[in-house]
Amino acid sequence: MERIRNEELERIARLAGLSLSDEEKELLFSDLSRIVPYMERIAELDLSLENEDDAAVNSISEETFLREDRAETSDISDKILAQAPLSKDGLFTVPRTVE
Amino acid sequence: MDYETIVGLEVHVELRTESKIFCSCPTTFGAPANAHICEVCAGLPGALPRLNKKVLDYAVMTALALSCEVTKESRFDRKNYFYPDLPKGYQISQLYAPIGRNGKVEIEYSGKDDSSEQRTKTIRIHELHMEDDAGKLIHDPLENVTRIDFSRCGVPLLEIVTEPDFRSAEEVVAFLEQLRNMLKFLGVSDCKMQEGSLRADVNLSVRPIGEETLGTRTEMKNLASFRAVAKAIEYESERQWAIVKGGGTIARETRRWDEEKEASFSMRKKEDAAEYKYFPEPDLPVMRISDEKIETIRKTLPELPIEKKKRYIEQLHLPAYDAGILTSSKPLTVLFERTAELGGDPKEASNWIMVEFMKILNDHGDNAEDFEMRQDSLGEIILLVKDGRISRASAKALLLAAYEQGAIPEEFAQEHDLWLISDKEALHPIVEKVLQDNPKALAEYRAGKVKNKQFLLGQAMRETKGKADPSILAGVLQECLESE
Amino acid sequence: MTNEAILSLTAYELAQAIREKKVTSEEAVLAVFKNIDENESDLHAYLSFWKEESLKQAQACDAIVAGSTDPEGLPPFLGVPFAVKDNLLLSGRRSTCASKMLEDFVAPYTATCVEKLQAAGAIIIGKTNMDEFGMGASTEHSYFGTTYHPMDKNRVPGGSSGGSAAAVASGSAFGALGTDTGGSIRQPADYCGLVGLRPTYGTVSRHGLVAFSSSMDVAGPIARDTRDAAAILNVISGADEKDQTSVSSPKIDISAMENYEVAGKRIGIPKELLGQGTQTEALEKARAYFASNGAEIEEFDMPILAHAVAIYYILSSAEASSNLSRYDGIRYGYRDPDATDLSELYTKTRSSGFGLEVKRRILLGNYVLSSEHFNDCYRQAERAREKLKRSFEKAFEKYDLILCPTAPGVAPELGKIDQDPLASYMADLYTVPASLAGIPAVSVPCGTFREGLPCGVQLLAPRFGEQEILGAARFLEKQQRKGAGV
Repeated sequence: MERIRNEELERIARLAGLSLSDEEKELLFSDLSRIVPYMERIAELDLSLENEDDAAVNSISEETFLREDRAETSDISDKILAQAPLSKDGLFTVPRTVE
Repeated sequence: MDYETIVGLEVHVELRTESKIFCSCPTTFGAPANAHICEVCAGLPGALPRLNKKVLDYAVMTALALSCEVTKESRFDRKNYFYPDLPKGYQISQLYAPIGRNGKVEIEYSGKDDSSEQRTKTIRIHELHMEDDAGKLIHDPLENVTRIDFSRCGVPLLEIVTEPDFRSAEEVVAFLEQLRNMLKFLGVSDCKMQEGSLRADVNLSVRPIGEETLGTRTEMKNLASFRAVAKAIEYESERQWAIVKGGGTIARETRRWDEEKEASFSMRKKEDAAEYKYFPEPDLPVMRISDEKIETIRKTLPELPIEKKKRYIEQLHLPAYDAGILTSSKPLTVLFERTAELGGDPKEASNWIMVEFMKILNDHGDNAEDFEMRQDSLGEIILLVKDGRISRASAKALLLAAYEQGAIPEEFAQEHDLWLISDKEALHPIVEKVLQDNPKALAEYRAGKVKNKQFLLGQAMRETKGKADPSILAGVLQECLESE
Repeated sequence: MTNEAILSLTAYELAQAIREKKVTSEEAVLAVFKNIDENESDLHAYLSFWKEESLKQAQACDAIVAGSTDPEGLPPFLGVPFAVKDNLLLSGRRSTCASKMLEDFVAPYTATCVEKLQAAGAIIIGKTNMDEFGMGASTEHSYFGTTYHPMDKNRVPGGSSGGSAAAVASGSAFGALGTDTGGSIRQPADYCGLVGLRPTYGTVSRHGLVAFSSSMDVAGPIARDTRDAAAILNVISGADEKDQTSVSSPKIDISAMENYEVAGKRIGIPKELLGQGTQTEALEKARAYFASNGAEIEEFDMPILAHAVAIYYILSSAEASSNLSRYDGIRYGYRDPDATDLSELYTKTRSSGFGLEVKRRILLGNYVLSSEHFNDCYRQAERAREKLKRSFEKAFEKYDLILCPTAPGVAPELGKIDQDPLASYMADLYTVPASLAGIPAVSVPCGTFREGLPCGVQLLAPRFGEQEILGAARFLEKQQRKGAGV
C-alpha cells in the first residue's frame, strides 16, 4: 500500500474541521501512514459471498419502539441555553455566516 | 438555434406532526427563540434520536400517493458537514435506502400560448426520503454576527426528488400546485411556502433543441412562492442560454434567488461541498416495513384530487372546468361533497359553489384553500330552496350570513322571517285587499286587458314583502279573479 | 465494623450488611472518602467527587433502612457508594469525558443507566477518569492527567475506564460503571484484578452515554466479583424508549450462578487469540480448571479474527468522527477565544479542544468515510463485520462458550503505550471481536503473575448469554479462592 500523501491528509483534516500545527501534522501523518495501510489490508478479504443488504448495522426493528407523536416541552431548554459560550437575547452567537 | 430548459426539483415538505422527528419537542411555528430545544434536537452529548411513528406513517402514505415503491428495509444515514444551523454536525437523512423510490405524478397544465387547452404529462419521482430540518440563522447587522435559533431543528421533513422531466416553468408550477394540493388532501403538511413548510429547489440546465446530453446544471434556492419559482426558471434559463450561446461554460453551483431584484446570485461552487461522508445512522434501527403495514396505510389513503376530479366528471357529470376548481382545494372539495350529499344534487351543489360561494370568497378577499364555514350550511340552504321554504334571493342572503357569521340557515331564516308564505288561506285576504285597492286595474282586466293580471300579482307580492311562494300566490289570484 | 472490614466487602455484601444494620451507609461513605483522602493524590481515579452530598444521601438511606419493616424489599444497592465514568451524564454534575472540550460542561440530564443505578439505592459519589472520549487503553489520554495503577504507581490501570477500575480496586468505590467500545471495561478490569462485564449490545441503554462509536458503545459494570457484576447488570439493563437500539433481556439468576455446571460444557479457544506471555499462563490456568471439571476444550480456527482490529478501527473511527462533529464551541463546551471567522471557530475550537489521540481517530474516520476510500474501507469493514458476526454464530453452534485472553499481558508501564499507536491498537485484538459482534463478554481475574500483578481471562457467549459467561466466571472465581485457600 502506498504511503498516505501529505496533501491528502491535509484535505482530510479540512473535512474533519481540524487545523493542525506543523508538529502535529508530522506526527499524525507519520502515524496514519502506518495505520491506514494496516487497515486497508481488509480490502484483500474475499467477502463476495456476503449479502450486502445484511451489512452490519443495528438491525433490531421493533415497531413498538417508535415514539408516539406527542409533543412535550423540554424542561431543560434554559439549561441548554445557559451553557452557550456566547449568546444574546436567547440566541446562540457565531461569527457572521456568508450567504 | 433554439434551446430547451431541463428542470428537476428537490421539494422539501415540513410534516404536520405535533412533535419533532427525533424528539418530543413541539413543532410549533413562530415560538420564541430556542424555546423548543432539548438534548436531542440541540445535539447535546449522549442524546439519541427517537423516531416519531407518525413521520414514518406520513412518509409511507406520501410514497404511496406518489406511486413510489416503498422500501421494505429503509434506513437513515448521516450526512456530515459543518454549519452553525446543524447542531450535531450531521443531518439524519436517507441516502442508501430512502423510504420511497420510482414514483410518478401525472400533471395537467395549460401551455405557454395561453390556449385554454389542457395538456398532461407524467413527472417521474426519483425518490422520497425523511430527514430533520436545521435551525434558523439570523443576521445581526448591529454587531455583524449571526445568531441561531435551534427551535426548527428536528422538524420533520420529507424531501421529494423528481427526475429532470420538466421543460417549462408552467410544468413546474403545475406540478408544485398539484403536489401541494395532494399533500394537503393527505393531511401530512400545511404546505405554506411563506412559512417555509414547502420549499422547492430548482435544478436547471439548458441545451440546444435536438441535443441529447444534459448541460451543466445549477441549483437554485430561496424560492418563496410559485411566482418566484416561475420567474427564477425563466431568469435562469435565459442567463444560462446567454452564456452557452456566447461560447461560455456554466459553472456547477448553488444560486440564490433574490425576489426583490428578480435575479439569482451565486452562493457557492459545488466542488467545495460535495463531500458529505454519508454512512448508515447507527443510532436508529433499520425500519422494516411489512406488506401488511403498507396495505393498512394504503387503505387509509384518502381519494386524491386527481382521482376525485375524474370521478366528478365521469360519474357526477360535472364540467371538467368545474371539477378542476372543486378539487383544487381540500376545504372546497369537502364543502362540495357534503353539499351534494345533503342537497341530493351534485350539479346544483357545484353551481352554487362555482357561482355564489366563489363570489363571496372573492368579495371577502379570502382564499379557497383555507376558508372556514360550517360544512352543512350550503346543503341545508339548497334544501330550503328546493322545498319552497325560502326564495332564491333569501338563499343568497342566508349563504352570506352562514359564511360571515356562521349562521345556521334554519335558525337564521326563522329569526329574520325569511320563510315563503305558501299557505293559501293566508294569501287569500292579501289578494282580496289588492283587488279592492286597485279597482281600476281590476276593471280593465275584466274588460279584457289581460296583462293587468301581472300587475296585480306584482302588487300582491309587494304586499307580502316578497315572501309569498310565487306559484301559489299566482294560483290564489287566479281563483279570486275567476270567482268574482 | 472497621473501615478495613467495610472496604473488603463486595457491593452485594455491603448492601446486605446495610440492610441488616450491621453497618450504616454513612459509615461506608466515610470509609470510602477516608480512602480517597489517603490515596487519591497517588491514584487520580476521580475527575470529581462530592463528599457532603454523598453523606447526606447516605444518612437518607440509613433513615430508610431504620424505618423499614421489610429489609429484603429495599432497593438492592441501598446506601452503597458507586463511581461512574465521566462519559456517563449525571444531571447537575460536570461531565467532561476527560476532554478540554467539555471541561466546563454541566450535564442537564442523567444517563438512563446512572438513573437506574440511583433508583436501586446506589450513592454516586464521583465521576471517574478515562481516556478522552473513551479513546485509548491506558487512561493516559486524559486531558486532566493519567490515572495510576492501584498496585504499582509506575503502571497504567488500563483504559479507557481506567479511573473506574482504579477506584473499585483501591477501595475508593464498591463498584463502578464503565463503558466499553472496544474493550474499555474488560481490559482495565483485567489489569486491576476485577470483573469487567461488557453486556450484549443494546441491553443497557446508551441514553446519556457520550457517544464514541454508536454501534459498539455499551455501559457495564466494573466490579469486585462476578456476583456484583451480575447484580449491577440486573439493575442497569432494560429497554429504554430513549434509545431505540436498546432491547430487553432476561435478568441474571444470581443464585443459579453458584450452581454452574461445568461438566459437559463445550468451550472453544480461537487459535488466532492464543497469546504469548503472562496471558498464556492465565489462559492455561483457566483451561485447566475447566478441563479438570469435565468441560470439553478445543482450539479452533477463526481466520477473520486476524482482521478484527482493522475492522474495529475503521468502523469505530468512522462513527467517532461523526459523533464528535457536534463539538464546535457553539452550544456548549470549549470555544477558542481567538477565532475570528466561522471557519476558524470550527478549526481552532476543535484543534485546541481535542487531544492528540482523539484527533488521530477523527482523521482516520474522515479518511475511511471520504468518497475515494468509502467502498474499500468503510463498506468493506461493514461486510467484514458481518462475516465476523456469522463466524461467531457458527462457532457458538459448536461451543457453549469461547475462552480467550483479555489483554496481551499484565498492566504496562506508564508511557509505553502512546509511543506506537498502531501497536497499541493491535493490543485490542482480544477485546474487539465481542464488540464487533455485539455479544457479551466478561473478563474475570485468574490470579496474580509477574511482579504480583493480576491477569484474567475473557469468556464470550452469544447475544443474551450473560447467564452463561457469568456462571462460568463465577466458577473460575471460586476455583481460585479454593486454590488460594480462601
